[in-house]
Amino acid sequence: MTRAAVIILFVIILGVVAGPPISGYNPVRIDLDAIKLSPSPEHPFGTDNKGRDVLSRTLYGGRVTLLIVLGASGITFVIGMLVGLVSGYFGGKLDLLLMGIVDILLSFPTLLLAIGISILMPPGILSVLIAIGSVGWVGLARLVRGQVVVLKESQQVEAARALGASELRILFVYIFPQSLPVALVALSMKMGGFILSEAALSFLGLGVQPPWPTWGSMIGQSRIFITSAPWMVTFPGLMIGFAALSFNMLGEGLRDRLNIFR
Amino acid sequence: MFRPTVKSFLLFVLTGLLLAGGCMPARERLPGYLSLRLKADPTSLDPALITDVTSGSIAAKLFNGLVKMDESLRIVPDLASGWTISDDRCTYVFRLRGDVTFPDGRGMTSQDILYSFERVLDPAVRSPNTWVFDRVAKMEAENDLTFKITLTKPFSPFLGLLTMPAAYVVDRHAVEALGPDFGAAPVGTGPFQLVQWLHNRMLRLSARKDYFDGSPKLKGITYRVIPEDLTAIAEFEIGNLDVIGIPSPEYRRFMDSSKWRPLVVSLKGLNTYYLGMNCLKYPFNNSKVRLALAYAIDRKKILETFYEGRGVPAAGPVPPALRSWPAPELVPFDPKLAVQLMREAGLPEGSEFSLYVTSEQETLDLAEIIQDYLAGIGLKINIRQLEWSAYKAAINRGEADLFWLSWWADYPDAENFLFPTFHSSNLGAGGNRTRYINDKLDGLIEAGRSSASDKSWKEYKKAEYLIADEAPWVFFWHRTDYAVRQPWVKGFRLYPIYTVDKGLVVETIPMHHAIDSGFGFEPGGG
Repeated sequence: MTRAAVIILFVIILGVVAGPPISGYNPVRIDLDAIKLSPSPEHPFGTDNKGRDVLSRTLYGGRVTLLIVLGASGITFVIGMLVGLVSGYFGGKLDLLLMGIVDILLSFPTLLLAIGISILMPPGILSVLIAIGSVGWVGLARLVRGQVVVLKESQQVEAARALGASELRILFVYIFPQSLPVALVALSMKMGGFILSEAALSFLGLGVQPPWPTWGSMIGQSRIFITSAPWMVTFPGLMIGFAALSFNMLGEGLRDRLNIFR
Repeated sequence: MFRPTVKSFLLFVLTGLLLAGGCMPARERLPGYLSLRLKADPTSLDPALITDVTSGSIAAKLFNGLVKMDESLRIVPDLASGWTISDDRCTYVFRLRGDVTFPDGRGMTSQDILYSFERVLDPAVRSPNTWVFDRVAKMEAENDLTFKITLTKPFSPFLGLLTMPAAYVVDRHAVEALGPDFGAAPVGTGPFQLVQWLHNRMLRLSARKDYFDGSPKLKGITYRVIPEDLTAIAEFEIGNLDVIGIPSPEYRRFMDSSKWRPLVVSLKGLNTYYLGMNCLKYPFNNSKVRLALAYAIDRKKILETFYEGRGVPAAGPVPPALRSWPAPELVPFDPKLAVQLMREAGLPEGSEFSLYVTSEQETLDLAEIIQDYLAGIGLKINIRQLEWSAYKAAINRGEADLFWLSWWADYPDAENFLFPTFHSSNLGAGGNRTRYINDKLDGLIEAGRSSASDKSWKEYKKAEYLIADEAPWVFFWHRTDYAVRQPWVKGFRLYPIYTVDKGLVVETIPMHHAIDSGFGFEPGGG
């Protein structure tokens, strides 16, 4: 399972990184003489209703989508980790305050919150990335905090404290590495969700602006053609499916391997 | 959070399969009723408040005005049996029919007309349509069957304005009884009456047997609110809808299908699609730059390829059906000339401009094509997609450099494509959204408006040629609309203006006749 997920992800990333020059077409170049061509050796994924090559759009769109997923994961990881560690380790009023914020944020549907945040910023890759990342960290923080509360009572930490280690040293040298596996598993599971969030935001026109594609916006723009030119929506749809699925499988594989949540 | 998305997607697919399998019973079908689709719930059916085509087309079946328009867009009697116009063309005297009744049997008199018109002008009603009557100096109900309107000055398109929903006659008793709820339970003199309205789901009209102009052939009309094009198409294909407007992505499929092709009806619409430029902003205050944009975009090619020929090229703002003079010359595609014009105007390559569009799919597609063509002459276009009301507000404020829009006739007169859209008194929300100001043009349009209706075209012709030369719009096309009907629907056609269709001619014939006559249709269930 994990191996399959890694292979699929590797192929997707390879295609997306190397792809656009290979496919031979500019993803935004409009060719009104080649509208809605079905898949052929010339255009393996066909062309869209403006004569653009769907393969190169799918590959380029994947680049943007995966970049957003990566960026959002980065934000999620940094904020989630930090809040979780501080909240769990220091406890008290600070814990109450931070977890209170988390509770408030958790009470909103995440997509709604992301839409709200992305409206505040000019549309583009960066704002989508921030919007998704800034709602994604909440669950992670809660998870890490729970982990830290347990870890800070462990004998290893007590021993370090007895030896006179500073609070920061205990936090980052003893507790952080041990809470990492849980965080990584949770994050890789979230990544599949990030792809879908990006798709949803771009589908609603709040994401990356045309003519540049992302998988989500490609589906949003082409779904109406599902009967007349199904290849326009099928291929980016498959890519979203595969990518989200393999991120989830990767998460499950990591969980089994790292032996947590038994 | 993502579960629901996945789940609803699966649900969608399953529903689709069920529908395609034809095992969904058609619950909302009644024999003799015509089943139509609405894209959105009508905002209000109170004629004083109607500004959109959807509500207007339903109101046309519930209400009547003094006059109406026939299929060839001539003004013909409706509640009035005839009228005379005074020599100074300021006073209109209407003689009313004596046999018009409201559904409760009460006869309609000139008092009802006076009440309805004054109601539109009443500030408490907050009608957005007061402009329909803003040239009226005086209205009088001389006796029960005579109604007199005096204008402040001669205005040739006035009778055309009286065909609009704002000039429909409402049932005073219902209005007084219902107050603001009248918009949800409208009562008029029309051939149909509203019997049921489940908001965001369906409306049902039933035919009136005692309609003065002969009762409709239908027993009634069911409007179903179906926002998604794909769902509506599926519903139509299994026979749950009787007529459907063809969404553009589906156009080819219906036209290429031997089953549907003979059932497609089309209509050259009274509209003009254009790329607007903000003429008060640099560099679009220079007509050379405006013309350069027109030369840079191969509109004919876009129409033939992307648009699949669903329209005729536009040479000026006035649709061919309303133009009684030769059209101006089409601006050809000539990118070299475009670049030369840009240089002459001193516009540097690489200049950036904003192009505002609505969030509608086809609009975005066109914006991307325009963006690509303008990149060809070295202009960088940033597309901004806005939701319709935000878009309209931004355009009316003059925020955009460029915008994509269309103008549709309110009443069939060339004046309707010249005065609101290019006269300097209508800047912004009035319709002149390109903010084009030209005293000479103002003079021509005004002269046309105040001359007799059979002579005004001479001024309008000069005005249109001037507009074509000055190019505040890049003229794209006049769109043709397509609809497809079921074989059991008879007498259905599309009308150039929504108020024309009173629903009197269309009928549904019993299903077995349709099958007998060679269409192999399964009855649509339930």
